[in-house]
Amino acid sequence: MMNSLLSADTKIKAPNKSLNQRAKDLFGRWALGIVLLALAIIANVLSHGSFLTVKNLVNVLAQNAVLGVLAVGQTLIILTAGIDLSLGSITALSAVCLLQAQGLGFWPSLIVALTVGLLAGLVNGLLVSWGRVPAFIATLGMMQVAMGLAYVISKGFSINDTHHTGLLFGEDKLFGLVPGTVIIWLLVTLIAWFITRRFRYGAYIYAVGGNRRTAKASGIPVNRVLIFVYSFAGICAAIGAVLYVNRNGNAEPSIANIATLSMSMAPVVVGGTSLFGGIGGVWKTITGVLVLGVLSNIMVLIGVPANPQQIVQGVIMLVVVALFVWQQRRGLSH
Amino acid sequence: MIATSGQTATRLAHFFSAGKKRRFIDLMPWTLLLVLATVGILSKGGLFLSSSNLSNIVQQSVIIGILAIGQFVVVLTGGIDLSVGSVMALMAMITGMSLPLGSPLAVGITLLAGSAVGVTSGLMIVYARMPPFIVTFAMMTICRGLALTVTSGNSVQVPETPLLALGFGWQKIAVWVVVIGIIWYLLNQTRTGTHIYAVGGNPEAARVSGINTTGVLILVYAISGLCGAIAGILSFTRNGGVAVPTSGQGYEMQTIAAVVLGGVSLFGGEGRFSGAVAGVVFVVTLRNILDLSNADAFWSFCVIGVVLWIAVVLRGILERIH
Amino acid sequence: MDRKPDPSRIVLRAKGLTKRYAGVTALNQVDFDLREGEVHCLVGENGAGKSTLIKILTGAVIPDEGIVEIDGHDATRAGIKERRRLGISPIYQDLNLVPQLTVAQNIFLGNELRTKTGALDQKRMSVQASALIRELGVSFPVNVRVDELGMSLQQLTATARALSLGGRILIMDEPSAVLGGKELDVLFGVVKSLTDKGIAIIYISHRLEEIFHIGDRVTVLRDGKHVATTDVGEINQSALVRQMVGRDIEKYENKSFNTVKGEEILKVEGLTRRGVLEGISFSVREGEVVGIAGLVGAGRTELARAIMGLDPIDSGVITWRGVRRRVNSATAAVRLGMALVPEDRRAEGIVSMLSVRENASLSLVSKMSGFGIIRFARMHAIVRDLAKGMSIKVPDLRNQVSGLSGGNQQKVVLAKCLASDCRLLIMDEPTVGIDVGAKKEIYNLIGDLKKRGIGVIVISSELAEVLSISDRILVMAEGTIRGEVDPRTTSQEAILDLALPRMTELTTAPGGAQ
Repeated sequence: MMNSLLSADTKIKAPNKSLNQRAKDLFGRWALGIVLLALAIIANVLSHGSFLTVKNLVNVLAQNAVLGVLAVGQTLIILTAGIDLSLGSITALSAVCLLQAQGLGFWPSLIVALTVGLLAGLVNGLLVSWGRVPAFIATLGMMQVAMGLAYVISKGFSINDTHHTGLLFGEDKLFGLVPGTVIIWLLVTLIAWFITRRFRYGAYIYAVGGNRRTAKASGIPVNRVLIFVYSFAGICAAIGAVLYVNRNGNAEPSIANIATLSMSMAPVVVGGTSLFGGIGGVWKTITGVLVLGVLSNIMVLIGVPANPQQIVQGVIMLVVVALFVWQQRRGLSH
Repeated sequence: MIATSGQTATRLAHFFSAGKKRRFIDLMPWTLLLVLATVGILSKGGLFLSSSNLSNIVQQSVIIGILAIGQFVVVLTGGIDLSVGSVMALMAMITGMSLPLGSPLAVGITLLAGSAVGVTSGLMIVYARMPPFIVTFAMMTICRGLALTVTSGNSVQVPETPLLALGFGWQKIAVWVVVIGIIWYLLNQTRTGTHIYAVGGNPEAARVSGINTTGVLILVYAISGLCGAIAGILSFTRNGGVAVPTSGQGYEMQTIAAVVLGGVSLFGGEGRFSGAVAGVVFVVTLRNILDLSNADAFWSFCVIGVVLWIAVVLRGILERIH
Repeated sequence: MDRKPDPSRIVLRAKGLTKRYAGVTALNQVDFDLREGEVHCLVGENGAGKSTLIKILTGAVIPDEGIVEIDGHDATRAGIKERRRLGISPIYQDLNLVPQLTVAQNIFLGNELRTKTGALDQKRMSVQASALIRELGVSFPVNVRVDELGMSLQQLTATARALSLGGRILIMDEPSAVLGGKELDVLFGVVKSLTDKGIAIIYISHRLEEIFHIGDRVTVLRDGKHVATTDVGEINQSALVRQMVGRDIEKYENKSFNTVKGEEILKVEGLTRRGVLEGISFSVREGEVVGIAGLVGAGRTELARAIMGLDPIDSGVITWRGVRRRVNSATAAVRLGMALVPEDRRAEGIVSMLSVRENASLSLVSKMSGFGIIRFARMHAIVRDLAKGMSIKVPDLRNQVSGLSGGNQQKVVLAKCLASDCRLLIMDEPTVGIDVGAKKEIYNLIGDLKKRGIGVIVISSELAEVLSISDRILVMAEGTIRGEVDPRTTSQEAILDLALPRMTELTTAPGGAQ
């Protein structure tokens, strides 16, 4: 297609990487996986061997499915160097709307919930792109608005799932073992992964996060990309809401608490996606979810109650971000 | 669309000279407050203007007001503090728990603890170069977690203590006024105040002038932590000696909204103190009117969020004109 | 200190200054001296070494060879703070002021005055600030926010600040670049007031008329070497220009001068953006290289960005291949077939954390996706071929682009543009910061593009470059096109003549007397 443009000068070959350097690279890529493995082993020991059973492992996945879906949506946003503080609130709002509309039937109420998530994400996306509002302020506002609406619609009370609205697969499990929630989480993850790796918008996402000005000058439709990621995350939040209702049988506005939000962010950061954009990915986040999930299980096994767990999460987030920043600064000085 | 927004900006630039724009921003919070007050009067008449309601507004302004002062100082440097609500809750508990040591000591410990939290945030932001919103977000979860952990989720109750004297009406307001006075003095009458504005307005120029940028940044977060402590003490006394670990949720939002409405730029360097105070009164009055209308108190969340959006977008447009 | 300045006293002397960066000699045995109370102008093309010299004088950079003496003391090793104490005060183009603070506050930033009680002594600062300003020979309110003042007064604020820090040697870097008309008169008046007090000024400017207006001596640098230092009274403008531009440059032989030019690809008519561009009209044909010459600030980058849809325009018509088009965004521009190699590679040209392959694919991605799914095999093949053809020196295309040299990074940017199948390529300062070998490769590449019928716009401050590779040259100044020249018949002096801004009538007599 292209003619050879120049007589090729002799290429200067870069020196082969030393074995040491190669080992370090390899370790960096698999470090988190090793940590996960280590944690799983510890959990197994602490639980006298009942952790590493298939049944329990599936259980762990099911426990983290709701937050896992949210984390996937958050990943795409953080890849663009943005952030979404409203995902927990959007989940609450979607859940509340889902059950408020359950009288309309299964599919209509589902559509309502998904639409709510989509619209909320769309507003975020518009504010961040056209409105030029910094992401954390725009989504901070949405956090309040969505939470407020959730409380208003539910009048502050929990709504019960009387029409089995949240049950997508009923009580069915695939292979008699894997619950529908996990399947859906996996599906969402695969879709997100596919988007980031095989679709052009995925390439755009990394470019926008890596250097927005370059992306713009190269002709990438930055605004459309931003609107896309925030809308996608909104839908993820709605899906998470459906999974939550499935698991808990009710929907309450207090889903929109800090714990939900921080659990949508922490795994992304722990998984190795950079807050400054351009680096990271969906499967890394999944690893992060699992690491935090297993860690949480370990804390339960040790007898640490729920509240201190929140402290640990906060500390972990700080440490990881600090490490990341330090690493980035070192990388830039090479 | 980009072209047209550019043309709009150009046309607006004709209309808004730099001085005019600044006066517009300065007047904004007061205008908004006026509008809101009018709405209140028109819809609720005597109920709104009754002395009990008005004093209610002032009372409720105190705690948010003190937190907003801390937020104001932080935002002046271009940062943000998402932890103010959680810090307040934690500090209230610390007050309650240290009262057995005597009131003055309890107050001292609380103030120290609050400053320590702030300094920790500041250190991470400055030395680890982490973005303020992540650091203070993590602090928020940590403090909330601590508050819930130290008493396993229960409140701290100390019903009989001389400290409660602070809980009553005018003493609370007096504390607020004193804090306002101190911070006002710091910002307008000391070198540090000028340095705070400089670090926010042009960090490079500040650095080149030999200003201790690091110290300034750590200071503002320490001040925010200190304000959190003061608010915590007042919250404790206001509740009759009860510290609830889940209190203060959503306060950070209100302080940010108050500050932004008050004309402070989120990018730093710009903002009048009086504007921030007006912003606080606005936010509280808004809540008040909603309460009086028997609307769901929950609507206030929505309204504050929308108001914040409008304020930020407007400000963005204004700033882009020049 | 109001004694009459002694012009025979040398306050600053630099000898044999040499500074090398990665294969490039920025300064080569440069001498420079400064007398008390003089205005010593420093001129040279972009890249002549002016900024390096200034950095050495202010202490920001240590020279590889040579000495710097201030008032007789050896200050070669002294850092920025110490130099400031010795009296050197730079006033940079970006002024380093805090826009939200007042004039007085900015002047005393970091050195605020206090009352006995420890509070800010705003009254005293006001008074002293006013006094400092009066010493400049002007007067304006000091309790106004700096961002409410015009550029001229902002600059004076920066100057007053330099004075307040005890500056005896002021370095003014392109002070007139943002000023117009009467503001210039004010500037000149201030310069005179300062020199009357014995303050020496190093004045950097590309506006040659100014030099003859207020300068005492002028030093010309070229390619890092000192060309001449002359008394202003003993030289004229054309001689000065000849010194700046000088010798016969080894002209790069442009073999494809005579390619057949095809259809008109781009026509721009009346492009205007208030305050930046005024009535720009020109066209580019297939296979044609249009060079755009001019000085810094002429609006060339702004023109490129306007054509690419990155900046909005107020009026003007863009015609692409005979059809009027609205180019509202870079996305639209790229889709039409334009591509931009930006001036600032790191900020706008590459995404440093992505790989070479990913960078080169940025503009290509949309064309390589059916239903949005990327056809990787084809995309990678195209990038691979391009990289090979352009000799991008990297062992693996999947390496991070941040690890490449400047020249190779620029090739990646070029690859990105070419991969998108552009018909028009806009290059803004394409060979800045690139070694000679890579430069030649890029020139060859441009020649190849011409053969393939791609139109090229090259914005360059290097006159030799523009003359070598262009078919036509447009010269811009102050946001308009001043003229068009034929590179085969023109000269560097002719271009510079067009590029220099027309100065409005100066109302003060030469010498700056008010």
